[in-house]
Formats: sequence, structure tokens, C-alpha cells
Amino acid sequence: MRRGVLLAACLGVCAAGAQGADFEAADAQARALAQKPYTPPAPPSEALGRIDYGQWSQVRFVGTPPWGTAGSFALEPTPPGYLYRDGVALHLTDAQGTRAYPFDAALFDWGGVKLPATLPPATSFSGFRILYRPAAGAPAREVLRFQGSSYFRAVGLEQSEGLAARGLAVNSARPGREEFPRFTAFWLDRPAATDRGLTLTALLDGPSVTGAYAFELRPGRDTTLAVRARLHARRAVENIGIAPLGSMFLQGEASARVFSPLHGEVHDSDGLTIHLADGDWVHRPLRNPPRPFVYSFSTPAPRGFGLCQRDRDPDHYAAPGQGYATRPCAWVAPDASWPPGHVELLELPAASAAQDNIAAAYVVPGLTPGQPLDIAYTLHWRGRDAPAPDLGRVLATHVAQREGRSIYHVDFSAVRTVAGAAPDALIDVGPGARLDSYRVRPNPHTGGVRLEFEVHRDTAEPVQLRAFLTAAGEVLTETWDHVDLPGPD
Amino acid sequence: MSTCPARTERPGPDVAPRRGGWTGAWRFALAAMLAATLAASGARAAPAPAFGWDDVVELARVRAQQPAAAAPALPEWLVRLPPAQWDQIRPDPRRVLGGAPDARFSAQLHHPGGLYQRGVRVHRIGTGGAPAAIPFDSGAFFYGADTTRGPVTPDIGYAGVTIAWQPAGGEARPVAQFLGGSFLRAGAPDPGGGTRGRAATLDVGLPGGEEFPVFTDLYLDLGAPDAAASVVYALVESTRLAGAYRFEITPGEDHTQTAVTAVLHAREAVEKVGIGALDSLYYYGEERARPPGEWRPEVHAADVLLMRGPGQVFVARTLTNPGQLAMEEFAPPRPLPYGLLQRDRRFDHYQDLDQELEARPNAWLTPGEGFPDGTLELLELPLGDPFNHNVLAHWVVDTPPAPDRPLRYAYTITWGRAEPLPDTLGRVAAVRSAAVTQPQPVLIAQLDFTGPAPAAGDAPVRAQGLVLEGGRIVAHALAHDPETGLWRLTLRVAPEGRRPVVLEARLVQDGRARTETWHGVFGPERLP
Repeated sequence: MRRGVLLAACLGVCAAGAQGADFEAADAQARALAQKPYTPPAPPSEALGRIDYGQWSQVRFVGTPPWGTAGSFALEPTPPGYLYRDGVALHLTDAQGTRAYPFDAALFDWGGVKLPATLPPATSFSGFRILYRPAAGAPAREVLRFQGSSYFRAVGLEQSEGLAARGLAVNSARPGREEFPRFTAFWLDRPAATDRGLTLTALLDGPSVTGAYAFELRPGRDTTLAVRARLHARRAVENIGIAPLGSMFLQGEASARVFSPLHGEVHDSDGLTIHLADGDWVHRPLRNPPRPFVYSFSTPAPRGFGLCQRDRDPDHYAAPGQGYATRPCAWVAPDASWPPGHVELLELPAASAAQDNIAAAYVVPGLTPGQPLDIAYTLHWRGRDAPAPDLGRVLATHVAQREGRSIYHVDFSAVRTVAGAAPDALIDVGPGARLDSYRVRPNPHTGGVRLEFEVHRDTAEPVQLRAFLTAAGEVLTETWDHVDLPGPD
Repeated sequence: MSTCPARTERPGPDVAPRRGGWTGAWRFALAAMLAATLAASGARAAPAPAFGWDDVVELARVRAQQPAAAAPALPEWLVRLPPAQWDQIRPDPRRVLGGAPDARFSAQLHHPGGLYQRGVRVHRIGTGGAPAAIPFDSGAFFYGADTTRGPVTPDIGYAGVTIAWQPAGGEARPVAQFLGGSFLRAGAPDPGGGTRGRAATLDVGLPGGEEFPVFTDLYLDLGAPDAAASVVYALVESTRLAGAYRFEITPGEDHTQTAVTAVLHAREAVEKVGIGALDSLYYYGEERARPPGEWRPEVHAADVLLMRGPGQVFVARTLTNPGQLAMEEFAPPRPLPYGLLQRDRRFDHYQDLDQELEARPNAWLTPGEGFPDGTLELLELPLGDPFNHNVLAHWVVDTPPAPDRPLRYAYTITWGRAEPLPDTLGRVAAVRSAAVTQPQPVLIAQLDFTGPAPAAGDAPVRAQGLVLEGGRIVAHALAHDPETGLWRLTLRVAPEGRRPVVLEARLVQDGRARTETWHGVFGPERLP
């Protein structure tokens, strides 16, 4: 609906040659940029680099909100500083046309930060926040933020801020070769006062790839963000990660190592879930590994994948005010036309919760100059994992390692009953280990089913494990997927 | 049950106990001392049977005049019976004692052997004359397929006995168990392992080593069909001690009470006698990472020693698995209730479907008539596996029994989930700590209290904390978490030397205590 209004406005304004808040215009820029060598962002002011996180987070926007304060949505630019020194250009679009929203240090109360009298001309905002008021008179809260390279975070209305998404990953998990293309410009389309959704357009630029992005935000208990992108290569790229998600996993219920002794579990997500092309569901509990690991899940054209914080019990985190139990899950629902590729999970060793050590993306083989790639998907930010009707889900994984054996206790949620057949398990143990014994039993405390099993390792290499519950040939649960390591996490 | 066998006998620890926990508690004690309400010792069952308490007391008195008798010898195959094979031996349910259809109480005998190397004579009290020991009868048991049995004699006795109770219209369930040493387990809905009572301790922690009094004879009075309680009399002895005990077992829906009356004789002068002993298992909890080889988040059968001071002062000493043997003394002005509690009742903190650690009973001891003055001593041993009890709380009497001066006393233990702390007081729900070395060495102790919700117009809730030993508080913070309702108190303590840091803390409002007084010890292994 809003789109129609925008197009109508563009008939008058865009035709006048103004820079349009329009995907095709951004794409034209991206295409043109891809013909030229990459220009890295101008060096930022040293003074901005000295602002630490604590100071930066205290800087407040005190300017006139560009969209006013009365409507459903409010826009607030965020200041440069800390790690966010590269500026982004913001453009505002409304019925009167498109205009630049120039940076001015006076738009912020810098608190204790002393800024030099003049800042380099390239200094600009580092990003922006979108605030949303679910009903007239209700308090507005942040529902979307773009901040740093191509990172953005959205949340549902009952969620705390958690994992992040990125516009694009390039050569992720290829040490020394990873690129961080960044959003350099945004066109923000002013919503009407009563609109419940909004549209924005972005230009992506990086050493190897440029692109145009369109985002449609619809906040709610579950917030959705529809993403459309057209990517252009400056040079051939081997490894492109689509719909990248980044999160943090420091310690969980299965971790033998404790990095944060004053807390219980510490993570923004606890599992990667994949809905395979053939309809099966796979769940991989996350871990903080002793060394970096990259895992591939070969599933051309998945129906979806996402990182989720399944554990919603605040007691398990023992971290008042941190909101770990209300972190969003992010679910990527591709449109029908994704190219062949695979879901990739990256886990890095982390020693503190300040480090995002988890990354997941759909990796496609690459991008060639002159052959743009169109990608579209919807990101769902929810308080639970994507629904898998009729399937028991993985609730928790516990593991102990004793003398070459690994002992697993995997809890599944309630499973449907199959007449005349008790739940049994199918356990697949990869090369290098063998199944010693297993047992399937009800867990009266969860109302679900517990699978206990032991594997005996004959190797010091990682061993792939998969398990699910069945009855009379019917699959009762998603597939628990895990890699057994010879030492403790 | 097989995972919690009798406590490993270890050489007597040669350490000086630390004193002073109550010192802090007294500093907190603001209320006037209230008259202690001591539960009366259990009333006797109505019609006196042919054999009773006076007879047991007399038997103990006579025994005390003689050297301790040798235990009946077990045949070699039972001495060597592996515990796993003992586990497979099942009592024949048809041979239950007193299993009349309308009887409330019944008893089941346990096979000797395995961990239970000393047989106890079990007597059934009937209506005529002195009771006779029940001869050992292997026909009352089913043996495992891989058990190679040898000959037995009828005088070897039994490992012990479990008393079951059948509520009106309900299923029979075990409520008390005498098995091994002088141990008693009880609880509701069943004993299920966990904290045990122990009739007496002798010379715990002294350089010469500990002596273990054991049950030699148990006399079962299962009562009339409609009896509310059953009674077990016991003779207890060791080289230097001999005693008569009466246990009145009163089960209920959610708890079991055992009222204990005792007469303890010393054959010769003894130095350190502990009564009202409770022992339990504390392997690890939320305060530390899982030990290697463990998958369960926490493993313990008790997590706090709770003591009631004068008035409404309650001191909660959180249990630890220390890096080295630890002893602590609490010396109240007179006998007061204490107990070992399993307060953490959340299954997901243990995750063990077999052991059901979240259901282990609390054991709360209330002193009764004659309970002598003394000192409550807590002993914690370093534990590297989940199979042995490593926590002992016992009342070390000021004046031990002497050959001409037996000790007569009574107490009651309440077993079950009930929390002795009044609802009006908050309690410590979790304790975590971190050792920080930069910029300077600091122990961070983090306590989560239940307590009053902050309300507009109410006086503010404040924290009181003090270091009894080993350091000084350099900073503290108190915050309420509306999501969980818990108060989080963070104490930053600069340690002095490598001594254990001993802390106390509580929450107050308007000058009144709103929580128990938490008492915690952080050994050198937990310090920066």
C-alpha cells in the first residue's frame, strides 16, 4: 500500500533527476561502482577512534527527529565513534522528494567526550535506529538498527536485542581473505503516521562486491524484514554468504569449561536449525569450541535456516537484566530462486561474551563480474524457533567424556503417539566411533523423551553424530546433529 | 542407592577446626532470645509389649560392662561379593515382615555382603517374652544370575532393614532404612538415598583416628494394624561406646519424623563424642564447572547446613566440596535446631532421571529432652567422585559420657521437603564466585536471595555483610531482579593471605532481618 504512494511520489520527484529512494536507482549506482576500482572509506578522525564503547553508548541524539515523534515510526541517526568510524550517507524520502540528511555534531549530546572543533569532511553518522510504537500512546522501542559494515539487528516487540544479521559475507571463514563490504548509503522512506510497515533502500560497497538492497520492515510480536538484493562483482569472488547471521555462544548446558563463573549459561543463540529441501528438520546445538570449526550442511535450496535461542528459562542464565531468555531467534526464509549452495556454520573459540563467535550463512560458489545475482528472503525475528508441526524438538544436550567414551543425554520435547509402537531411536555414528548402547525413556519433568547413548571413539578426529526418534517407521522428531570432539568444550 | 554406599573410612584428619561462625550471627542477632520450643520426645505406643525400651536400656548397660563383642563372621564369598552383584540380590516380596493386609507397617530385610561386611541381628518384637533374632535365610532372597553362592549359617545377620508404610487406601512405600554402620535414612515419599542420620560419632578429626559405632541389634515393633508410628530399638556399639537407641518412626504424606531417644555409655574415657550426626554428599553445584567425566549440571544430596539461632535468627552455611579437608565449629549458647537441607528442588539443575537428586529429603534435627550443651561441627572432605558422602554435621557434646556417667538425650529428625525457614524470611538461592586478579586480587562473591519485593513507600532493602576471616569487603552492590524476584548481592573481597575467606551476609529492611544469615567459606582454591 505504502509502496503505491511512494511510486506515485516518484513520478514527480524521481523523474526530476533527484537521487531516488528506489531500488533501481541504488542498483544503477551499485552497477556503476562495480565498474570502478574500490575506494576504501576516507580515514576517520582520530578523536572518534578514541571514544570507547562506554562513552559511545552514552552519546544521545538530541536533534529534531526527522520523522517527528507522533507516528508509528521514529528515526534516530547514531553517532560515529568507537568501532563505528566509517560514515554512512542518509537520505530522507517523502512526498516532497529526496534530500540528504547531513551529519552535524550538534545533533548529539556527546556527554564527556571532547570533540575537536572541526571534524574531517567525510565524518558522518555511523548508522541509525528505527523505533516503533505498537499503538498510539504506547512507548516507542527500537525494532531495527543498522550499525557497522553491513550489520543490522531487528527484534520482535517482546524480545531483547540479540543476534545480528549482515547484508553479505564474503570469504567468511577464509582466514585473511574475508571482506566486510559495508552499507555506505541509505534511502529512508518516511512512513505515514499510521503505517505499520516501512521500506528502506541501501547501497552496499566492498572490495569485491557491490549491491543494492531493499528492506521492508514489519514490526510486531514477530518482526519480519523482507530483504531483496542485487549483487555485482568487481572481480571474481569464490565464496559469497547470503543471509549471514552472527551470534554469541560462550557457555551452555553442555559446556565443560566456564568462562563467566558469575553466570549460568551465556549465549545469544543456542542452536542452528535447518529446514532441508526434502522437508526434514535438522538441529545443531551450538558450542564454544576449543579451536575454530567450519561445518557445511549440504542442502541445496533449503526451505529455511536460522539461529535460535531455544532456552527461554531466565533461571538457566542467572544474569538479571541481561535478557538472555528473551533473545530473538532469526529465521531465514528464502524465496524460491536461490542458487545451489550449502548452509555453513562457523564456530570460533571465545573467552568473553563481548565476542560474536558464531556465524551462519547460505554459501554460494561465487560471483562473476557482469553477472549480477538477485537474492530475496525474509528474516523472521521471533521468540521461538520456526514451527515444525508434529515434530519433537531438541530441548537440551548434555555430554560427558570418560576414557574414550562419550555419554550423551539428549532431551526432545513431547512426541506424538503412534499406536502400538513405543518411541525408538535411530542413531548415526560417523567414521571413527561406534555406538555402545542407547536407551529411550520418557522424561516426566519435561513431558518429552530423553535419548541416552554412549559412543566409543577409536579416533582423535571429530566424529559426526545424528539421532532422531521414530516409531513404527514414522519420524517423530527433528534430527539432532552434533560433532563429537575428543576433548571437552 | 548403590551409588551412595557407606561413607569411606578415611584416616582421621589432623586439623584444627575453625571457630567463629556464630560470632557473626550474634552480631546480627537483634531480637531478644526467645524461649526455644523443643519438641517433646516421642510418646510411647499405647499397650506395652513384652519387650521394650527399659529392656534395651538394660541390655546396653550390661554390654557396657564388657568388652565389645565380635561381629558374627560373614562367609568368605559374602565378604568378597562385588557390590554390583549385591545390587542384584532382591528380597522376596512374599517374605516381607508384618505384611498383613490391614497392617500399616511392614519391614524388609537386606542381604549382608558387598559394602555391608558386618551383619546386624534383627529381632521381631511379638507379644510373648524376649524376642529372638530372625535367623538368616537365603530363601528370602532372589539372587542375580551371575552370583556364585556359597554356604551360609543362620547367625550371620542381615545388612539392615527397610520399614515401609502403607497409608490408608495407598500403596506401601519405604519410609525409613537402617542399613550399614549406625546409619538411618528416612524421608517422604521414600528414603531414596541422600542425607543420613548416624547414631553417634567418636573422635572425628582427631589424630588417633575415628571409631565407628555400629548397630549390632535391631528390634522391630511394627505396632498394631492401625498404629500411626512404628518403633525400632537398636543396640549400638564400638570398642569404647555402647548405647541403646529408640527410633519412633511417624510417616506422613509429605514428611517422616523419627523421634530418637538414646542412652550412651562409655566403656572407658573418651575424648570427642558427636551425637545427632547427619552426613551427606556435596560433589559440586552451580559454583563451579563440571568435573571431568560428568554430564550432570550439579551433583549433591544436600546444599546447605541450616542452623537456627535464638529467636528468628537462621544461619545458612552453604556446603562446599573443598580443596582440602575443612572443619568449622558453630557454638550457640545452648542446643538449637539444625539440619542438612537439599534446597535446590529444580530437576533441571541436576538432570538425573535415575538418581532424582532434586527429591532428596531435608533432615532437620530438633533437640529434645536432655540434649546436652555442645558445639555444632561441620566437616567437609574433598571429594573426587559422586559415590561417597563427604559432609558431616554433628553435635560435639561438651561433656562426653564416662564409664560412670552415661549420656541420656532425645531429639527428633524431620525428613522431607519441608523448609524449616519461616516464610517471612528470604533465603540464599544461589552462590557463585569469581577470582579476579586484575587490577588487584579480589574475590567476587555473588549471592542470590529470595526476599521482599521492593514496594513504593516501603523502607529500602539493604544488605549487611561482614568478613569473619581472611579479608575485607572493598565494594558491594545489591540489585533486585523483577523477572525472577531475586536480590543479587555482590561482595568484592580483598583476601588477606591464602587463608579461607569466611563471609556472612543478609538483607535487612527497617532494621529487621528479611533473610536468613548466609555464611560462606571460600577456600584457597577459590581465591585469586
